[in-house]
Amino acid sequence: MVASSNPFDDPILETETAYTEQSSVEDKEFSASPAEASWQYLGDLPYRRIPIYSHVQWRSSCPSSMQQNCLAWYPQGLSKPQHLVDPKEIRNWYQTTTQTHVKACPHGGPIATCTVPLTDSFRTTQLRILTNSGQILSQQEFPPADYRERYNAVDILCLGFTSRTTLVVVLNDSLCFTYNLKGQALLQPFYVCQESIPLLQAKVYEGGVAVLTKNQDAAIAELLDHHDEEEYSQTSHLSARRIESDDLSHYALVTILPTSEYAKRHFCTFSTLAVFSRLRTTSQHPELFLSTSDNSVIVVEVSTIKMTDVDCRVRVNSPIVDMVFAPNGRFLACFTESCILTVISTSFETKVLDFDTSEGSQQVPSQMEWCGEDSVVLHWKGLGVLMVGPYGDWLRFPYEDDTVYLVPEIDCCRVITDSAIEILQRVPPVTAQMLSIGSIETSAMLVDAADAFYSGTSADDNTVRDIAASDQLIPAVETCLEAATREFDIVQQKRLLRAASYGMHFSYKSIEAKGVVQPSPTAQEFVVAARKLRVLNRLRHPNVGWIATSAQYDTMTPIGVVARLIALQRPALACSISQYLGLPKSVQIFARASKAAAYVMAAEGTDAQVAEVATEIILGGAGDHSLHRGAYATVAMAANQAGRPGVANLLLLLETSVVDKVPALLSTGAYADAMAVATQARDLDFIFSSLMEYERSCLANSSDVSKAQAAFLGMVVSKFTPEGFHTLRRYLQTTADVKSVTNLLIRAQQFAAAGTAMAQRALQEHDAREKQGLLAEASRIFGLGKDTALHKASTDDYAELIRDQETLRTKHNAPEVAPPSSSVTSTIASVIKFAAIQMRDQHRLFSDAEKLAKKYRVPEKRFWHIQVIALAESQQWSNLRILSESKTKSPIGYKPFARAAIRGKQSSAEILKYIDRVSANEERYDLFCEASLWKRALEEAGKLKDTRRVLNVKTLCNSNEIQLLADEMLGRLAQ
Amino acid sequence: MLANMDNPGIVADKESEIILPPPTPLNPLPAVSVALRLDNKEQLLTLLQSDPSAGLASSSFRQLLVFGTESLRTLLLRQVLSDPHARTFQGKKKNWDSHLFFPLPASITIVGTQILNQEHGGDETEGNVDVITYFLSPADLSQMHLVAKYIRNLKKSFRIHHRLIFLPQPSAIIHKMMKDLGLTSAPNVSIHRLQMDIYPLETDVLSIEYNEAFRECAVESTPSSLISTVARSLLKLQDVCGKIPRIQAYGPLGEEVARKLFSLTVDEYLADRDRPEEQSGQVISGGDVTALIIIDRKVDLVTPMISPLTYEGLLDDVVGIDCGFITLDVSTINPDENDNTDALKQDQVKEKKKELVSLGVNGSDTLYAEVRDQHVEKFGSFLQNQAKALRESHANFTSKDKKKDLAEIHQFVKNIPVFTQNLRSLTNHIHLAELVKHTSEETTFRERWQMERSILEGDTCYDMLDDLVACQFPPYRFFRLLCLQSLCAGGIKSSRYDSLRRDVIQTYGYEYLFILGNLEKAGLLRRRDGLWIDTTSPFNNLRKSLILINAEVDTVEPDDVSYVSSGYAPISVRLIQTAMKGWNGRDEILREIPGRIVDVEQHSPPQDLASALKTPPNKTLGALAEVEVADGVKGKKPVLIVTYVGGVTFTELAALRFLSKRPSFPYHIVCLTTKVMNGCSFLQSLS
Repeated sequence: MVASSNPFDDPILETETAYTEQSSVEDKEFSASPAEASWQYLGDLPYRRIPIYSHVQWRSSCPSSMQQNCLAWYPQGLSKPQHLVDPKEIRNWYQTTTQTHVKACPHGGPIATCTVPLTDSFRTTQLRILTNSGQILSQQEFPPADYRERYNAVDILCLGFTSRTTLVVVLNDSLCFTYNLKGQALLQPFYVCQESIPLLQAKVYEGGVAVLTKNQDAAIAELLDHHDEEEYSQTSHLSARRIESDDLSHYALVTILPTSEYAKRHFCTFSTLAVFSRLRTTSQHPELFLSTSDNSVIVVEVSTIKMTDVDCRVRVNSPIVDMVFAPNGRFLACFTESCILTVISTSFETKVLDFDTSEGSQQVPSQMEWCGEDSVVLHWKGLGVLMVGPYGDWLRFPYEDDTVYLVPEIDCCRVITDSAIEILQRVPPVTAQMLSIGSIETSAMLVDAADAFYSGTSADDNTVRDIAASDQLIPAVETCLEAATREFDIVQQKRLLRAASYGMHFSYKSIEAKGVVQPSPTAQEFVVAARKLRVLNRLRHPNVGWIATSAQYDTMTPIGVVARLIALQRPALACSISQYLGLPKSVQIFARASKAAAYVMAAEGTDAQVAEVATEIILGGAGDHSLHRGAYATVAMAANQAGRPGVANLLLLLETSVVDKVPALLSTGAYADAMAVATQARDLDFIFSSLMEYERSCLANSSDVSKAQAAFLGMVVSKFTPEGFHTLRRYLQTTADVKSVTNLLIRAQQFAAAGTAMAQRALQEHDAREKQGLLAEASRIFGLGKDTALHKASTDDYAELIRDQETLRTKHNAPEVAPPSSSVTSTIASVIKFAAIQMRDQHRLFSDAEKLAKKYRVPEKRFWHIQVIALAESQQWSNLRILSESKTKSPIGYKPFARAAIRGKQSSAEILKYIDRVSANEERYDLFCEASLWKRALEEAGKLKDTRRVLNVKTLCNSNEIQLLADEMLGRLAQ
Repeated sequence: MLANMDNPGIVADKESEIILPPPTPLNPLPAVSVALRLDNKEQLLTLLQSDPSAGLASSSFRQLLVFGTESLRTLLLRQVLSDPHARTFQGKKKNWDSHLFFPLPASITIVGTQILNQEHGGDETEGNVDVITYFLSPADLSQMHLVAKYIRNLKKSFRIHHRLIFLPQPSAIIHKMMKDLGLTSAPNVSIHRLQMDIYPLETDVLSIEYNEAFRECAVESTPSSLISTVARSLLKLQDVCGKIPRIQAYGPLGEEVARKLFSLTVDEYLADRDRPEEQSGQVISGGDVTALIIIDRKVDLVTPMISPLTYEGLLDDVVGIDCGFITLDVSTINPDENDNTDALKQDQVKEKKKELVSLGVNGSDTLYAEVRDQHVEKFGSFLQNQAKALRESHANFTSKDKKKDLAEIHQFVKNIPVFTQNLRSLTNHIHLAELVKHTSEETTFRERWQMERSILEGDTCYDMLDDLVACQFPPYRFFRLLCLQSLCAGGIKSSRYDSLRRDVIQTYGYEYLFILGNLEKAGLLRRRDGLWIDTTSPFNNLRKSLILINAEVDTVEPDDVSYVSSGYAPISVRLIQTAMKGWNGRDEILREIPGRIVDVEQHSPPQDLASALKTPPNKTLGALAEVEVADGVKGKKPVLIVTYVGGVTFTELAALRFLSKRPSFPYHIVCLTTKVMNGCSFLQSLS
């Protein structure tokens, strides 16, 4: 459905004719109905332009020497060509050498503006956030100081607001800055994709920003905060990177979408992108729409990186160069290379509109936005604004100068110019019905009757009575109320409200006849509408400068309005609105806390006075402190920022919520207190973050790193809780440098622990030299303590032992004679065992073993045990015999020998030799049992006269013969 | 798309199919374990299924699972992912899995599983893996280094995505370490949490699986994370079973957990600012659970040092039970009959085909449920009788001389699956019981037990300890006795202490110096300086006042909890028994227990512990139970949750089950613990 006529072919005349014709008709028949006079029809739908603020002074806080031109800003250093004198020409020149970005918060919120040179003519620019009425909310030099070395103003690619009023600025290499309305950075600047590749395009959408690089890769950064469910980031794509702010309240989820592979595979390139909000997708994650050079669009599901070609080639005949989603997410406006505006359903199944603009301009419009849900507004530089309706109808709006910025809204379009702000809006249906010329709607009749009544004309009230009789009165009243809320003009609002109230007089009475005292639902609606209008009018007042429509107000909800007001730095207003509307307690508390914070920031007086007033503001009349937990910390933080730590401390005394108190204490520099609170609350994360925060502040306050470290450790040891100290110790233990943990421990005089840390590192060390060094150091540290004699001795022994093992290995030229080990016993044992392999050197080896035992003062008994075990394990049975028969009597008796032989499965004769030398009967009995020599065991049991032992043999022996013997013996013992 | 929508068959709404069994002494809260199990499984499955990585076209991705510890692998794959209580096995004989086989759902492509600290061939996996998922514990900081090393080894391929899962959540230290190790900036590394909190290992045993619990508070002196984890788990448990009106806590950690629990409850309550106003301070009522006892492991360090004498305890001692599973060579439970004759040959065969298998041991196996808590003197004959009975019933049927009608045959056929299942289980346990009995009949075992007993009775056995070191007794077995000696006698005599420590270091190695240090820090070991007399040790006093030694106990038909170790009753269990009668006039016991006893009621609206302590409850736990019984269904005992902060042993579990089943004890008991452990694993966790 291509529009037949050329929209730019003298359109002003045409519309103007229509306009005059209509108004003349109107003039003839109605004397006082100016409402419709200003409407313009797009097809049969009326549209209106509502001027909100005219003659806006876009303020700037920069020195007057700077040149500011309305929304644009130029640095002093930008020298203009000498020959230009005419102000219009100068402006023109500026406009051709610079570009001014203007973006606005959705729902009538503030505006951000930033002028960027097209060439490298100036290096920094001003990033301003202004209200609609031109008041400055924040201003800063951009790029920020830390980034000026790498970036210029010219690098700014795009800026925009998310639906949570976060200002996002994207640079050419995808470095992304985020600010709140106060101009404070929310997240550390981060790269959305690899920094080396420049971006083709970046678009800020309601949930974040999406970018397309020159090598056809895309990426998306979703900006989230603590209001979003934690599960959301869990269900995001695996490769999603999470970038968190320092206080963890905000974070970005960055997903890189490898679309270049797709482009390569399908031999296409991408020209533009649009993001489909996660609120409207089935996956509940955003989807990225990328238009391809082969006239199609691919949809990338961000959570799965699944790419689907929607294949709309039949419907679109040239590549799409710009795409915008309608506010309701059902339609997509596309502008193609061949200058055709196509509106298509989001599923790409139904095409709504094709509109050719090529005859007016061969260029892509500088802006394309939706105006509400049913028309698209386009702006070309030098050609004005064109509005296209669903059936190909169009309207052209002339704007004097060419600096027009369009802001799409859910029910209208904000138009920002150099000096004014207006709203372009489809006349709400209720208003259109009621106020259109010659309307015979009951509501229109009600308005007329009311007008007549209040103007004092002696009108009869029959009209209204007739309406009431036909049961149409209540709907008519409601229509009036609804229409009133949608008006911007206070006079008109009042007129409609008055009409509603007039109508209610007739309806209300009939209800009251039954004696019901409760207000009727209509009456309640009236109150709601009046309240809403009061709030809206207050917001629209130039000193607030927030131009929300009724529908936007409903979308935001009153709570959202309050939250935004606080973000707008109007806490007092937020506070009174929340109270006026009777919003939930939590909202009121939040608003009050913000108000108190603002008060503290500005207040003068003694700490006690300020704290008292702040507390009163927080309490707002309700005396329960526990209800307001968290609020005190918020205000205390603000107090601290304002340089009033005294006030902060007083307020924090009242705070009971740990989650809020610890960060507040940290921000006031009360690190030890924060640690105490965190420890008391048993929160390891707070304990640790208090430590890290304190370390950071120590390092920041001192130029000498080692001194700062020393101060930090000293404070941790002396002032922090023990658990804080140990948490730091645990953390330092994981770091590569062992010195860091030993320093801490030595400072705390915990020499045993310090030496242990050092020695444990030595045990992990493989390099022999390093190991010895660490052990020597450990030994030195152990030497400092009082109760660490054993530690020191053992450490020295160990160091010595390693050396001895080394010597043994070289001496016998075999690694297995003394493999590295930390125990004296195993070294002696391995030497003895080695004798089994090296029979020739047996004597030398045994003497080596003996020397070792002597050197390390191994007690005689233990040395014998070691020998027995080692000999048995290495099957040196003859040597075991020799040992048992040596001149010195075994200090450990012969039981271990016997046992070794039993376990070594030696012959009974061999075993018996040893058992015979054991004297105690019980032990002999046990050994016989262990050796399964049941007969002998039975004999021992007999000698011991122990029936239990006899019975035991009987059950275990598994032999009839012995069982008989056992029975016999039992019989004997029983006698 | 949400991951679980792709596989509706797995995480579908299963609640409708579940039929809860009626409460019994061994399953007093049927809904709790089922609910927790479902929730855990769903969480884990969602995680495993989520996120096809770089593969664009295919929605399936190949995943390698790397676990911080073997125990975690068993827990997640065998306990959480497939319910071992409901698992059935095909085939006649087998009811175990090969050690490295895990019952994974078919919808997930899992290439393999590894344990972090074990050697592995990193290269072979590289080619065919898209995602490596690491399951880690936030308490074990050393794991982070291993992970970093692992990732660095695979650096060559950026294609592989590494995701680090922390159970239950990463701590601030972990985040900082990630930063230090350069993992946060890597685009292919991500961090996740898996908030599973409680794992129902049995119907009456819930575990938090916090392996480092006792170490963290006793050795590292950083108890906060343990305290808040346990408190949070208790909060979650209360979400399932309702608020618990009465809470008692023993030991310093018990009080801390109670305090944190109360403060969390208050926080939760106050977070909802727009709640309706509440005025009165009523005691909460109406939950499934009547009382909660929180016990700090520090209150009873003696019990873990004692050798268990129940079947389950011994099985754990000999083979090792971890998360409800034992891992052992297949020939142990399924020996090849033919080779049985020639011992030597069998050894060779063993060498050749040493095949490790994992066998589940849990209460859903009716035979095991019956035998697990039996004393060593009973279970052998019990199993024999069972075998005999089974054989008889089979023989009865197959014998030709009896005539059977159709109904009988029908009945028999119907019982065949039960029969085979019982037979399998019986065969397993007869073999296992042989193994266990064999160990318990060894001389060393008997000597150890005798030594334990004489130490418990107040003797000092320094010479025997000397001998044990000299004989190179396994180190942790030795430490058990050493610590027992120190605990019972209030320390080790100064002169002996130094020589013993020297012996230990020389025998077992230099590193044992630090283990001894840790044991000292944990209070398991201390030097006793001269002047004191033996009888003053707290344990000696408790032994008398709590009647810990009951040498006359009947181990076959037990009449007292002390049967679990042939005459010693675990302190913690005796405390629970005494708590029923109340603590009035039992100061001689209270004096010997570290910390103070907290006995409070939960009120609504919630208050913090300090204010709750101001209104002490006026009923003893026993009296409270009587009220409950009078109000409730006849014959149904109210439920008591016993929480062990720092781990529980099988000995104690057996004793608690014994109480739960006794008509004279007023409660059914569910045990919540940070970990089910034994003396050796307990001591090892400290090193």
